[in-house]
Amino acid sequence: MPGAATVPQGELETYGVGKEGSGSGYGTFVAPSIWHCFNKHDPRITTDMITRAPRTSLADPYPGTGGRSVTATLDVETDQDTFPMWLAYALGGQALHPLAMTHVIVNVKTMGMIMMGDSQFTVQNVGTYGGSNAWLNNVSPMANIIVGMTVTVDVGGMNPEPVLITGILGPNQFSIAPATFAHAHSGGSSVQRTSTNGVLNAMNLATPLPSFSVEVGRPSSVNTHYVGGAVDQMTLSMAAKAGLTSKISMVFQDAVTYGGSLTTPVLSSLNPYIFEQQFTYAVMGGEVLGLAGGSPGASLLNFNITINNNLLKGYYTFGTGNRIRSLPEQLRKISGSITLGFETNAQLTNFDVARLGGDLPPISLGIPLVGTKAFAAMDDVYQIYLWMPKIFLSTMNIADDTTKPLQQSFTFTCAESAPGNNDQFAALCIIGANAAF
Amino acid sequence: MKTIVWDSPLLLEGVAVEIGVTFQRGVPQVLSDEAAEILLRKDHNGNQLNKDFKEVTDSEVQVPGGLKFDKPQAPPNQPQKEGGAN
Repeated sequence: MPGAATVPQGELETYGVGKEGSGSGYGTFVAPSIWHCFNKHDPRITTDMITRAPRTSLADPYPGTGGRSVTATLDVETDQDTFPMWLAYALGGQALHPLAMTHVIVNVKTMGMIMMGDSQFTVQNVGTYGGSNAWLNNVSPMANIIVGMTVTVDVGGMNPEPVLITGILGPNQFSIAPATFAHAHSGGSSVQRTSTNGVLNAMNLATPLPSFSVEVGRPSSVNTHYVGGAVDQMTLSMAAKAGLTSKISMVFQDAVTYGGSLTTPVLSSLNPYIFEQQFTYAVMGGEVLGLAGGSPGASLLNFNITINNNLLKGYYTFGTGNRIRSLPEQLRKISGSITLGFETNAQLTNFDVARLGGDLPPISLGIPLVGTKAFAAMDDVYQIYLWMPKIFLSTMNIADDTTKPLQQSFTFTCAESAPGNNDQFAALCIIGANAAF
Repeated sequence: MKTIVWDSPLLLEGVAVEIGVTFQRGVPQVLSDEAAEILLRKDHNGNQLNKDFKEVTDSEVQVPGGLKFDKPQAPPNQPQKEGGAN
């Protein structure tokens, strides 16, 4: 009879995450507050063998029991509302923008006059804005304004005009809905984001990394609590015919079989970020990638970014038994690769610029990911802007494939914008109000 | 019948998969006692496991001029399974 012998099914598993308290809260289980849909979860428990000396025999004596380590990898669905949690946990910090409480967060101004009937506007970076949002100061306005965002032009002026950003026409140049401006606006008018349902958070590099507990529900099998977890490595990849994919490597202090009732799971109903759903452009080295129209840039075909927190595993200390004491953090490395079409050779030129000696000038890379779920009608949608202020292009490869368009692939390493800034990577996320992961 | 509010601090929308009902943050749902019991289940110490779910009384839902929550929007206890749609 089908079903007579119950077989535990992976499809029925649930994966809930609870943020542990800082300090002494490390390793103390916290019930889940957010659940993630996943394709594959591979937890592994390893016990070190302490080899013993032979006992007048050529056979191994039974080893002593050494340290116990718990690791896991998770191929998680990048759902628009839940995935930012992993960005916050992998990078270590989540900061509400200093001006986000009043939703005045687009640090740009219009450049030149807008005439009544204009169908587009351009912006420029102000440079400083209240002196408190330092990490955005040097970001291109394209990092602050994304397709799908609602803004008000000339806020605080004579004729503040709300518009929806519908397209990117060029570097820092945007089209709007309604199609044209109803009023003229003078140069220097402020542009501010106006949604109140979503807030802008910066997931940025910070230490210590948050630790978390995981409750894995395995119906008809072994429920397990994993405690004292931290993200060791995270990859972000995107290519055609798929959503944003992310694989996360984690380290835990321990895994404990759990026989009690599971916390009632609540799963996201939203889609992941999908390659073909993007109606905005990435910016690399001053070039708007794939921009259609007057000045096309080299098309973005795929990218892969790896955030490696380089946690020190196996930090056993005397007196703490065979569990690790904690997870010391070491030098982080963020690197990646990007594949472009060859509509322009601007990035090859960037790569070649130091060919005859001298320093290779850093370039920036910004990749916007725009979701399809709006917070309300004619409102912002979930968004993530992957921002790398300085990348070093280390290799360049041309695929001379006679079966498809030419492609150029670069590998790169991210660096902080200035010594000590600790900002080689940030994810600027628009998420639901008050979502503090 | 019980009126349940999902007051997640993290998400705006979520599916309580065990009963197949989609919740919007702060919007009450009227559920059967059995479904509500699943959402409000407790551990062996009597502590509610998922603290985001709260039972609210009619008076809490319908206080004139000072609604803590919106009025229930879904018909009573109708499963609303969604297939990942946006």
